[in-house]
Amino acid sequence: MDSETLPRVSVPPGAEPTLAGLYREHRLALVRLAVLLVGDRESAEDVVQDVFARLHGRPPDVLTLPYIRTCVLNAARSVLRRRGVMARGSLKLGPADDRPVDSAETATLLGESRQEVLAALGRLPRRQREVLVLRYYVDLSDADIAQMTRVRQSTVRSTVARALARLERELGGRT
Amino acid sequence: MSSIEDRLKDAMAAKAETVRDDGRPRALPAPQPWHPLRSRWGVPALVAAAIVTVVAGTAVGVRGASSPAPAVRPTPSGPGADLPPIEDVWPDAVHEIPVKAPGGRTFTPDVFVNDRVVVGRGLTRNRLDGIWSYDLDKRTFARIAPLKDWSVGNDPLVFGDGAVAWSAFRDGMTEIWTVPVMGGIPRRIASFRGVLGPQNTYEGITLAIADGMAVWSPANGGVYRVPLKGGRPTLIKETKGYRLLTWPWAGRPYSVSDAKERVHRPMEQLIDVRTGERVDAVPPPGRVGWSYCGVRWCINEGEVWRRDGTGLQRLPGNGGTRLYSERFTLISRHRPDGTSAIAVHDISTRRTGVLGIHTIGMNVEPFPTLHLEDGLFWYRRGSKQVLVNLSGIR
Repeated sequence: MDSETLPRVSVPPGAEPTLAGLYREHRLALVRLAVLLVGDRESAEDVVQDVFARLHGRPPDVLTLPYIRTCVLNAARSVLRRRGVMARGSLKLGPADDRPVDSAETATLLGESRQEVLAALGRLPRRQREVLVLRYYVDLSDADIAQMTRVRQSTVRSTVARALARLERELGGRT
Repeated sequence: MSSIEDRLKDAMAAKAETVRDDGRPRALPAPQPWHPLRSRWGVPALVAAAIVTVVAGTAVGVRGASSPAPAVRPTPSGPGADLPPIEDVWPDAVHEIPVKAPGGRTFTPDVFVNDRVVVGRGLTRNRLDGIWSYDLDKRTFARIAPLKDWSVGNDPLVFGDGAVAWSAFRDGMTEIWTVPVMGGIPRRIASFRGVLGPQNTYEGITLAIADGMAVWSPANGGVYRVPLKGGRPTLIKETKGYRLLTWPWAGRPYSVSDAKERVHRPMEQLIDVRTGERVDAVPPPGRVGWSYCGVRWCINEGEVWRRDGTGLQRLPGNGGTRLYSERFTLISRHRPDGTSAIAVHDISTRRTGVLGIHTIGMNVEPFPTLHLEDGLFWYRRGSKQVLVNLSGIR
């Protein structure tokens, strides 16, 4: 008997089991978003798990997809911050690169050209990378991105423009 | 759109697609322990505490021979009556155990193997890493078997005949595994093609252990069996289209989504898969359908009645759409102070015990997520978890 098709247990008014439904419906999309933010699948899955583990008990009216996306964005930032701290620590001991590396299978699937683009994306400052992911992967409007990243819409537009210009320079306009 | 934008979109979509949809349903991650400092002290808004329930369903019970005798006095349930806490109603069934097993792993309880030992899964970073038991008398954990297998679904473990069983979904095949409850090495006893549901997702199986066999129903029905020693799965005669409910009973239609009519009558037809005996559900006069029907009782919108349509009774609260261990249901009841009591109601004895209070207010600790399995309700409370062993209530 799976929980998908079972008649749901009745819950008190205003206390629908929204969280479980959101998790079932959007987990995959959120992991995919997180993988673009943190770079590897394992960390991305951890990010989404941690976010949902913290959402228990939140009022149902705040449990919306934009809110959860923002949580994923913030959790991804924490992962990157921790990685940064660890990388700085390891520099004292000797050069080390703990940036996640795609598996051979993933690398083959992506192909050289896409990997080049993704590598350039990975070298962008965090905020530029985030707005590009939200604009070109999630397809959000300037207003939505501004709300998620807590900056003005004009800042979103200028950040996107600067990020694209830098990618253009790095990739040398090759297609 | 410039070419750099196209390249970027294409590369990001391709990278995201590397996270494949394997079709396995995932359980909602367990909550992190609540800490007062994490609550929003600065938010000047009412925070509505929500009760989230997680229903786990794959495990089915094995019906015992005796019916519960309604010898005890029913709980007073008039409009002004205050319901007693569950610990007072069924003191032997409510237990508090640690959340953390040795090694810092989280223990997720699944099934009581007797009144004093509960078996469950050990999770590290929400990933399965072993099967563990907890002894309520010794207050200690014991590892039954290590199990690091991403193919194992989130359905609860089942127990019977001295063995713990579970299913896994790997490369399109459903596998059934067992391990002795006293400990040992997990053994695969059956492997067969997994059945995908209408959304092309794997929907698991309904699994139980009974009469020295693992018995199960896949999503498209039929009751299958295989000896616990292993062997070829066989379809039990004349069970095509039936779903295992509680061994030895299987029923159809399985869920409301199976029903073509607008009136929902799930599990209307039951058969004893051993003898072929058939028992149809009959609603009481004036009722035409129900939300859930077990072997003995049917339930619908705050009312319950016996499968033969007799014994109609009103539940002492709202809710009540599903039965657990054949006779328990979860209800909520408004209290004079504006809060709601969340309670477990026993249909057989008409006794009711309060699990917790659903409160609305600022900085109120929300009622934890309530996990509902057939023989066990549980929720986290700080570093402890509270277990209600429904299968142990006589």
